[in-house]
Amino acid sequence: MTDAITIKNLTYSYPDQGELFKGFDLTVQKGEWLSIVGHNGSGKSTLAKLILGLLDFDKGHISVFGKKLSEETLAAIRAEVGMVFQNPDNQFVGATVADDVAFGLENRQVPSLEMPAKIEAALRQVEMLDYAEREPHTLSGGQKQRVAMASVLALQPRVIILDEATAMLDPEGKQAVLKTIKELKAAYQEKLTMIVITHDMEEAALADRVVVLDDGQLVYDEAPETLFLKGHALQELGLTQPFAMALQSALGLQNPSYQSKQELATWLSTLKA
Amino acid sequence: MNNLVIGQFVPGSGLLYRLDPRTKILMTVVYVFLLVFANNWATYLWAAGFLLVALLLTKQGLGLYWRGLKPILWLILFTVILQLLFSGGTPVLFQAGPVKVTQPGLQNALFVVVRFVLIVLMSTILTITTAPTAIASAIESLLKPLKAFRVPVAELALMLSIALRFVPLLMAETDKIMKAQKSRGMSFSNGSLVKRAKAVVPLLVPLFVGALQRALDLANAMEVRGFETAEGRTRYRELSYEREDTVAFFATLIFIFGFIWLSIR
Repeated sequence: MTDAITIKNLTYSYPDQGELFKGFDLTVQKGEWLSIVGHNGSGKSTLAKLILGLLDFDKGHISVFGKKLSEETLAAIRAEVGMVFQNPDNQFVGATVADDVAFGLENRQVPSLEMPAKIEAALRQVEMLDYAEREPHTLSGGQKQRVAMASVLALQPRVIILDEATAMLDPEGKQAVLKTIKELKAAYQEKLTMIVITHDMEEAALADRVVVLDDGQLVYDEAPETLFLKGHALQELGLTQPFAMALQSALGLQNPSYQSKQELATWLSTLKA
Repeated sequence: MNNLVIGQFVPGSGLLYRLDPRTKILMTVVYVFLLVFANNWATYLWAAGFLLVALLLTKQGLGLYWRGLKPILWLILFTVILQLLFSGGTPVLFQAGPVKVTQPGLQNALFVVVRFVLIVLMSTILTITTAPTAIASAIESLLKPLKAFRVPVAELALMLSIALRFVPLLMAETDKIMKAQKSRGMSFSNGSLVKRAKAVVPLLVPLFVGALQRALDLANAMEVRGFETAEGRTRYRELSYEREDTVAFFATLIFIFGFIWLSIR
């Protein structure tokens, strides 16, 4: 199996500031759902920008599906990797929902006649087809983020990076975006690699694998089920446990295990007996 | 701030909505240009008639246009007073000390009112029936000949459409900052003119910082989605010249000839 993204020996420093990444390694497998978590300034968003060539790194190399990131391969890599940013308003280029999805297609010089079908398909996947002619300021944050996802999907990337895409949303919008992520992953299976950058642990817990960053260092790299057992150690990194785990710890249970809300409810009802 | 009608697109289904935006822009330009040469009541009537037809073809309520006109009523009144008092000529209709109102002055003042109203209404019709993006792509199409002189027409049009897209956002942000400042005791409407002007500074600084951050974010988002230059991109919405446009073209021709005939008669 080929790796979707390989980062080897990466060194990057902020302009006028200290080194962030030093000899950083990370491999993202094809078809996996990876979460990257860490407190503010831990380097998680910077990492995403480095992968897409929005920032230049000093040393090391990044490759996407075996293609090494460089000036020459930049366009090809951006065709493979789509990204949804944090602020819903600042990534909406078009005047209407359909125009925004069209923006990426226009850049890739897709013929006009082929566009409507692609736009329709992408909007249907995120359940925003009914809003195609709406203007951005009439949409909620969650709807805008789903349009941003449709804009990425229309370009048929093999990797989607969500950079704190739910951080600025209300609970309802957040749930809608998470639902869309799950549906996409279920629909594309191995064909789509998902990298979700977040500081929300419930969101991180949905992933196959979670990577914890702290000041550019990779601290943990494991499945959510085992990662969230490290309650105290996580708190020291400025992270919280998911609710189910925190509850079990608070109840003084020795070996809490990660549970979804559904599982938690079932488990709680067995306690009564 | 939200009841500003000039420059605002209002979705609808009238015939004017189906016209090519280039046709509408050219018609508006010709109309405004001709009005400058209107010199008698017949020409103004003819122009008003043409406007009325266009207005009815938008299938929008007249209240919408009245709201478009309201914000500039003071400006019109001001121009009228200037015309009335400083036109000179004979016969004098009314005199009080150095102030006198003459018959040519009165007529000029009335002409100015009508001209003003007609121009504003015509431009309102254009923006009400044409989406900002359509205006931007029409301008791009109309300015194409300038490419020969190395004017970056495609870039300018894209800049224009993005700027238009961010207007409501920046307005909402201004409103938010104003409220934040007001809650801290800032007053934007009281005090001397100097004091009020000073109050604008703490409003502009965060607004500019915010706008720059937005610009950076947007540049990243555009780049990631494969944007390189505005040149050579394909188009989702192609402009197309239809039968309605031909009809509009002939209607405009009739208007032009009628206008010329009435003004030299």
